[in-house]
Amino acid sequence: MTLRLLFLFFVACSHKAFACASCGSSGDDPLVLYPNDSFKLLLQESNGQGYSNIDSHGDYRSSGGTQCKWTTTASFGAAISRKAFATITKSYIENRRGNLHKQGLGDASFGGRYSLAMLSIEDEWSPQIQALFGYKHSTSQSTKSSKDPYLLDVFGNGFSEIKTGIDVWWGQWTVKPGMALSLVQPLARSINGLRYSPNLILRTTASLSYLQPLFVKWVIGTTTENKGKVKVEDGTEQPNALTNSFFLTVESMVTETDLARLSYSETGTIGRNYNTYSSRNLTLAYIHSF
Amino acid sequence: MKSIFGFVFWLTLASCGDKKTSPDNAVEAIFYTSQNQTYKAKLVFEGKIKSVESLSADFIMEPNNGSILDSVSLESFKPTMPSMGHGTDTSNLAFEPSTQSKDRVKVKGIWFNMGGPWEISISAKLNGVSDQVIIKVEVP
Repeated sequence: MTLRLLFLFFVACSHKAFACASCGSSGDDPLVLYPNDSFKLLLQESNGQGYSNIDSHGDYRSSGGTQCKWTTTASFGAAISRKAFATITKSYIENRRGNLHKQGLGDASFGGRYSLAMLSIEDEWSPQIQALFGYKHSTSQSTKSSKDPYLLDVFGNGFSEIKTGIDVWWGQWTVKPGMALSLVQPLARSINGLRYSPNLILRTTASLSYLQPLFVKWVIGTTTENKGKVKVEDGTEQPNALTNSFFLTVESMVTETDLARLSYSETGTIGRNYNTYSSRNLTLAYIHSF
Repeated sequence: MKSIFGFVFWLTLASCGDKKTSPDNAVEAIFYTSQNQTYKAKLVFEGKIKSVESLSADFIMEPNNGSILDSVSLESFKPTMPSMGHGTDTSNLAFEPSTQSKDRVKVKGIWFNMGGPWEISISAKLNGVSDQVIIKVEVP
């Protein structure tokens, strides 16, 4: 499966490559519109493997759930103005464990960015600064409501979420650093007669990107997610969780309006992690600008 | 008033349920208090504790300090994983009272869907009085 994704990427990139415009850190969002884009469509296939639980001491435990996850994502973005755009994203997920598998729709999410400051050719130190907004509407089955003994029917985390944040990116240097900080507030809800009240999630993404002379862009970055406690109506609480991830992305323009992106990421494998899970993911995305 | 009493009772149970357990140990124990009498509740698994495997265990109540035990029956058996915020499939759970001994009930179809720290909330009837206990299980 991994080879299939790699093959598709190199076929996609066999056309002469062109440089892309500013991309921001984009660690959080699969689709980011550049200032000259009007509409943009993303189709993405992702394969996740090597799932393992991490307990409160940071020890890796066996995972009884999904062993392999295929996620197909479609995202559409539209420019509202030269400084602002909005996106809508939906995914279709297949969870596999041996010969067992279940498919379902992931949660729909809506996102947007507004450029508070644009890059300036007069001052290479001035970054692009974007304000981030987002809403994820929870409709998918979560671990709290799962009816499958192997949790193969879990396609979401069970909570609708409101997101706000800021993305800062220095795009005029050879190696371009970027940083995004997101605050995510999952909304309280009742599941199986019990009310769950989650606390804030803080997500930080730091990245470095480099544009090769052959117009291939490399991005390496890390993401840290600090998830607050979830208070349960019965007086118990789900403790806070810490997840550190890294990603390596290579992007190439296929035509002037098409971009191919291959990304490898590992979740929960670097730094300190607890009350979370680890996995390896390979993602191939194809992005078309209208 | 009843809910306050219930909350305090749960806190008491939680505070006395912190006994350290070994992942390979098939026996879990906790002190159990009811009607001013003290018992030790044990869950003795048949074989090693494992995830994603249907397990059976004996739920055993041992009288402490001269407490009397005439009968034990199980009302509910609910495993949860607080650190991950979920439970597990309980559709195949079955309780079988022992014909040999009045202090135990066989629990079949126990299923842990992943490794890590679990808590089993058990509602049992002792000498005709319902009470609850939490047993902590470390699943490798």
